[in-house]
Amino acid sequence: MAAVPVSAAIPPQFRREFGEEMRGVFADAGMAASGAGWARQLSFGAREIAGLVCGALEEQVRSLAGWSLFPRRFAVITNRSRFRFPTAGITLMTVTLACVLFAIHNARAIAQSFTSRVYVYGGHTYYYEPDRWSFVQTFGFAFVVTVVLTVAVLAVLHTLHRSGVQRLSDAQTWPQQ
Amino acid sequence: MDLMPLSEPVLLILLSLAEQPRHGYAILKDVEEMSDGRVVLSTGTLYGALRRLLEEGWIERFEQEDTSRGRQAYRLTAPGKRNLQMEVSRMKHLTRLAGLRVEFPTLAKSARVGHPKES
Repeated sequence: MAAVPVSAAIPPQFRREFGEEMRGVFADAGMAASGAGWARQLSFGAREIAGLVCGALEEQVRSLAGWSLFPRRFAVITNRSRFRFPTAGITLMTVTLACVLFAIHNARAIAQSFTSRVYVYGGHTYYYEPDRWSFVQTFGFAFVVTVVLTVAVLAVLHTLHRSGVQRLSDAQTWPQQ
Repeated sequence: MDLMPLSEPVLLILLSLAEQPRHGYAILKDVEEMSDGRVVLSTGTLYGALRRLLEEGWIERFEQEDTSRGRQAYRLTAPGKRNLQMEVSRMKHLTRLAGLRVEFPTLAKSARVGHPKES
C-alpha cells in the first residue's frame, strides 16, 4: 500500500522505462513471499519500501542534478573525477545549512510577532528592524559565502600540497624495502 | 577510465548475467541463490542497478522469445564481460595475496596490494 505513493515519487522517465517490468517483478516476488510465512512477508515489505524510497530519491537527484546520491550503492563508477568528497555529503550539508537558516528565520519571525515593534527601555526608544532579506536570499548569501570560503581553503591546501587527495597519494601502505 | 571495486549486488547481478541472459525476477532469484540468501535485492535496488549498467553499456536489453508476458531480458555486453573479468582477476589477486600474508607472513613480506596489471 505504501509503495503506491512512493512509486509516484520516481521520475516519470524511469517509470516509463522500467515501471511495467518493476510491477511484474514485484508481483512475482510478492507471490513467492506470500507463501513463506508472515516473517518473510514482513521482511519483503520492509525491503521493498526501503528499496523504493532509496531508488526514488536516487533517481530524482540524478534527474534533477545529474549526479548520484549513493555512489557506493551500485559502485559502477567510470570516468570518475579526482574529487573524492562524497556528493551525498555535500547534499546533506546543504540541507543542514538550509534547515538551520530556516529555523533561525522562523524563530525571528515568531519573536517579532509576539513583541511590539517599538519599545522603551532605560529612557531610550528601540525599534525592531524587520528582516530585510527573505529566507531564500539569506540562504543564497550563506551558500555563496560557504562555497567561496571552501574554495579558498582548498586552494591554500592544494598550494601547500596538503589536500586530502595529495596526502592520500603520498601515503605508504607498505614498508619500504 | 577509472574503475572502482564493484559493490556486491552489482557483482552478483553481473555474475548472474554472465551465465545466461535473464529477466528481472530471474536475476533476483539467482542473486539470492548465489549468495545463499545473504543478498536479497529489492525491486527498486535491482532496477536502479540495471539502469546504471545499461547506461554504462555493461549490459543490454534482449528480447526473449519464450516469455509469456513479453518480459525484457538482459545480457552482458563485450565491455561488461571485460570489466567483470578485470574485477574477478583483481579479486583473485587479492585473495592470493591475503592467503599468502595470512598463512606465510614471512615469505610474503614483500608482496604488494594492487591490480595485477599494475604489478
